[in-house]
Amino acid sequence: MPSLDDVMAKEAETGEDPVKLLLIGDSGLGKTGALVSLAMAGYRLGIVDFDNGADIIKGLLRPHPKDTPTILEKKAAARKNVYIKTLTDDFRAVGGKYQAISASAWTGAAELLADWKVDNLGPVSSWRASQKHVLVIDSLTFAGKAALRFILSMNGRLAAPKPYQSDYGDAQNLLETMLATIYSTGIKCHVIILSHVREVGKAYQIETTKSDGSKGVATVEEPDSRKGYAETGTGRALSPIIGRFFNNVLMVDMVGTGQSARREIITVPNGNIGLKNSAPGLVKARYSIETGLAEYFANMRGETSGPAASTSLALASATSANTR
Amino acid sequence: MLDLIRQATLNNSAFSTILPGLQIAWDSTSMGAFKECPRKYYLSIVLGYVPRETSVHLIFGQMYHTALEAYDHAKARGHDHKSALRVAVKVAMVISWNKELGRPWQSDSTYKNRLTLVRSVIWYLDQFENDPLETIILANGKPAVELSFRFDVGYRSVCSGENFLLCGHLDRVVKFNERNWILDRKTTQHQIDDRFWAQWNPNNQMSTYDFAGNVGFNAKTAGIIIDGAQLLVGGTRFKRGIVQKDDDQRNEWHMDFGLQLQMAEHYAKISYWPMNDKSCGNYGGCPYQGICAKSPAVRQQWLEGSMHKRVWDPLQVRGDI
Repeated sequence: MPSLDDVMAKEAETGEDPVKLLLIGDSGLGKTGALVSLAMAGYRLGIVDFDNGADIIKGLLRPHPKDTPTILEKKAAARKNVYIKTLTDDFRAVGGKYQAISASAWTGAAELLADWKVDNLGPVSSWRASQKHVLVIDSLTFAGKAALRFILSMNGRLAAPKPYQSDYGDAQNLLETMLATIYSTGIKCHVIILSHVREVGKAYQIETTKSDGSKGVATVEEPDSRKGYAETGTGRALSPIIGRFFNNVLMVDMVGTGQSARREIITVPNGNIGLKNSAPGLVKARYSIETGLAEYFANMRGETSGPAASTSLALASATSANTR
Repeated sequence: MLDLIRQATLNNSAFSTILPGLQIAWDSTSMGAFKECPRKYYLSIVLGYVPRETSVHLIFGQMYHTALEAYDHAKARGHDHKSALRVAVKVAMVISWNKELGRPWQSDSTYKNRLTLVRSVIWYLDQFENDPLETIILANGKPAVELSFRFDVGYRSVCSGENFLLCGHLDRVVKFNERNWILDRKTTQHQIDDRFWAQWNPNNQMSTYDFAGNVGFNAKTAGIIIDGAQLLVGGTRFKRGIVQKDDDQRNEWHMDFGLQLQMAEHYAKISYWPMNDKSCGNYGGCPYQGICAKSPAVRQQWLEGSMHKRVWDPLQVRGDI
């Protein structure tokens, strides 16, 4: 049986030590844009885009008048190494309400992971951390919604006003299976899953008396029990356990106010959100969003990171435009 | 013993004519019996003894399948939904009529009887009138329902040199989200919850169908959709779920299947199939438990007295190949 030293020596030698992380944050804070630093550092990104929000990547990798020749060259190389597959379901207006009329995004993603044929990248199981391959799911939230629509569609209830309770459970099972597969040792590339934040508190039920004297049941939340977790798009039950699939749970947050406001990637517990990283001595507590992911990966792997995609000014402008 | 086996398998084309008792053509039913208990397999498949009373679950399930199959055939012939529904209901009424006794099929079950059969057929077809799962139409113009398959599974008998075949029938092959899926219908009295779905993976039958779809038909099916119907006294609820496997799981199943065939060949060679006395209480109790509890010397008399014989031949085609 090899010792831990043997295992670590082998990983260092082969480079097969994937980083698998969950990056959470509120909408518009720059989770998708943060991926660009990895592309600039020479990583190949395969992005399963459920959010249809990858325009920011195009914006950040587009040549900018203030870019130096080196940056222009890096951007050109990065653009060749980013593969985005946008998977969305079709909606249409029916009786003043928008409803889904197809639910193919989930099965599209499953097929992509089995074999990324469209760009000749092969099965995700053949991607390797040593070759700087990264699988990105953007975002877990919308992936969960796609899973739910898939369940509804299969059961002929895509147009139904409200899913059944069991539909959420079935969608959660689909999502959990996907995460378990991605987290398994069968997937040997780096993995980044982006997600929005959901606050979930400990809930319990109590008996109440209604105004007419009849008895009822109410769900109440334990005071101060709310914690932030990844939003899965399939209800609240799965959110608290998503973190178990990852050894690295980071967060994008806005720090400061006014002119000094800036976006950062945070790697240590923050407020009521239980963040974590698998190398507390090697990584920083906070990184700037422009270079953060590349630096984090480099710190985790004992490498040096590459340059930012663009000037801080351009990044801040692009990100602000994205949130308007 | 050998004479008994030869006599029993004489008219069963699934068995070897070189090594008596060696089944060459397997389906999920025969392999399922073998995996549960080799002795049960010997009694039910090799010798062909089955209980006189057919299980109400089996009868109901077959009728439900047949009625819905009739709907698919009618739609493929150009009937609209209402017309095809009438065809399905008529078939349900006809097949649940006991011609010999001149009266409806009598069932002791409050959940599975003629009323719940017809109701379930109507409710299902009403709920899925605009079914997103479209039955694939084969090149011959017929719908892909009760689709029979039979192919060389890649193993050969050491004793007889014959190639083993994998056979079966797929309830329905459908297109959903531009992908092919195998659909299998299941009826149950129990709630269609996590426990219901858990029983289908791993599952002998589902693994066989998945292998057939991907390897036998080379169709690269996206998975299997279990089309569940929960039968209640006052209604029927429908729920669909999926079973998906990757190539690694298929390879594992194929290897396991080969090992089971080796065991089956060994038992045929020694003309002896041992009991798995840990399986006797499963699935509500094995119907052969009473037989196996008797002394070997008297078992044959008890078999002949309490059971009747039928030939289980996986090579018998039901639908279209």
